[in-house]
Amino acid sequence: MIITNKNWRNTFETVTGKSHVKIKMPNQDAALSKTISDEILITAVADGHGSKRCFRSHLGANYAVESAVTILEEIQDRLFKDGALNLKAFGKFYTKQIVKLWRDKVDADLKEHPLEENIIEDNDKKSIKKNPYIVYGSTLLIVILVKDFIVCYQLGDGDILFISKSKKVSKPIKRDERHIANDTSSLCLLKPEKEFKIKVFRDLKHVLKMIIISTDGYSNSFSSEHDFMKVGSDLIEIALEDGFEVIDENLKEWIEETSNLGSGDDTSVSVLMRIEEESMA
Amino acid sequence: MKMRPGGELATRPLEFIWLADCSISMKTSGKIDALNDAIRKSIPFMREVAYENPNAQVYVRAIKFSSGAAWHIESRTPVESFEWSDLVVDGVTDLGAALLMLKEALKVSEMSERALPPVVVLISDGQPTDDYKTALASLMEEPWAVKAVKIAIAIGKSANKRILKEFCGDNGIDVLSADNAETLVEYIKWVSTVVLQAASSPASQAEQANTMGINVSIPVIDDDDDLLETISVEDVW
Repeated sequence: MIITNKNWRNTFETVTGKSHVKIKMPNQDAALSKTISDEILITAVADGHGSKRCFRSHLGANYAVESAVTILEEIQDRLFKDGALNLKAFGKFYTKQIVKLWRDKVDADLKEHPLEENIIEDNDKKSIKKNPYIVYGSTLLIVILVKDFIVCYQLGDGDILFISKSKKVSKPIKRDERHIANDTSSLCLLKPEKEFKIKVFRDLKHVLKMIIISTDGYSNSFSSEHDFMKVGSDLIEIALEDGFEVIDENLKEWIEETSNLGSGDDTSVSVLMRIEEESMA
Repeated sequence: MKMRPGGELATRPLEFIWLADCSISMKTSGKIDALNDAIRKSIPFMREVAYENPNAQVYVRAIKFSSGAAWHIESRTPVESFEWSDLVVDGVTDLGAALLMLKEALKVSEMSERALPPVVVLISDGQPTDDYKTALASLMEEPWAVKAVKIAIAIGKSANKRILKEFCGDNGIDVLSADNAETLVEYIKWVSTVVLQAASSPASQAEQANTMGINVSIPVIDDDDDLLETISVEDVW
């Protein structure tokens, strides 16, 4: 399904990895996009941790993307102050509100479906009692397109790719070196709002043509960083030659194939394309 | 369907490293023969686990230590082509030298960013004869060493379990005590299958939310009552 606003088009997909299909585990990823107004579009992906301790992380991931969208809708009138981007609203205010709403959603679920002691492993009982949010742990990546600004948020592992007019692919937020061996920052931490990496870009000359955000199941499926980055240049070529609809039609099969032959992990990808470029094509 | 975007795909690498004591004491009561036999017997089970987890590529390596340490299997060998050649005993128990060699293997520059947590299995029957403490502290400066699933198997009653526990970490898995050849086979099989299977999972962990100090949830080892009935007194180390 293609989502649009005045300047951008978007399509996104999320697929269950082979490793989870095998054990009949639900997709621990979530993805969501929404046009807030002609000038504002948001897309978000989240990766629930999926470990034994995080046995409701599929819910946590869905709560994460829903919270990101809901809060942006709520604060849309505060995004500009005196004609300039209100960086305070886009900074900690937004991320704190996301965390608060995410926790409210978790609390509501816990109230309705209390944790059953017998399904928690002995080793985990103490930590879960102290912090039940662990059970719902998830990462969260967000891109907000607002007028000529691009605002990126990253909590935990995953990737955001920028693809320029000249098909150059770059990462606006560098990889966090702490994230090795499946370790990641998460919404379930004590102060997750502090872990968000936030970058704001002004794009007056419209150099940027495409943005891709994805959970780590995608990049972990490629044999090298170079092979992963090639996704960016390939997708923009496909969009320019065949139209954005081709990406929309094929995205699910592409990421399914990629995950199956690669990491085997749940995988979510969201692709944003500037409209004017496509019409030029 | 249009051609899939992106370059070459690959499964995630998982390193499985044996750290084997080859000191002269391992010759007593056939311990080294039992270890060689146990690892050899575990190979088909390792391959089976690897086959069932097609999204992880398991590579096996081995370090031996006695008077100093050396690679027994240096190259990252895909489990599908992994063969075990017998370890030979000689010298003392320089565990520290082995830990420093392991440190080199687990340096960030040596590991793939995409790698799954490595599994390291230390097997020893004695007391370290070098400065293992400094070496262990140095090893644990490496992020991949911290994230590794570290298992220790104490062979016989003379093994220093306290030191082996230091290797596993305070919050890590308890040291496994193998007092006879059959128990050793069972434990080697367990690490080669259950632990390997757990480490092959792509599940993530929130970095500050760990309780065990490791980021792989290892199932508890089965108590096998039948096993106890098959042991004779002379088999016990």
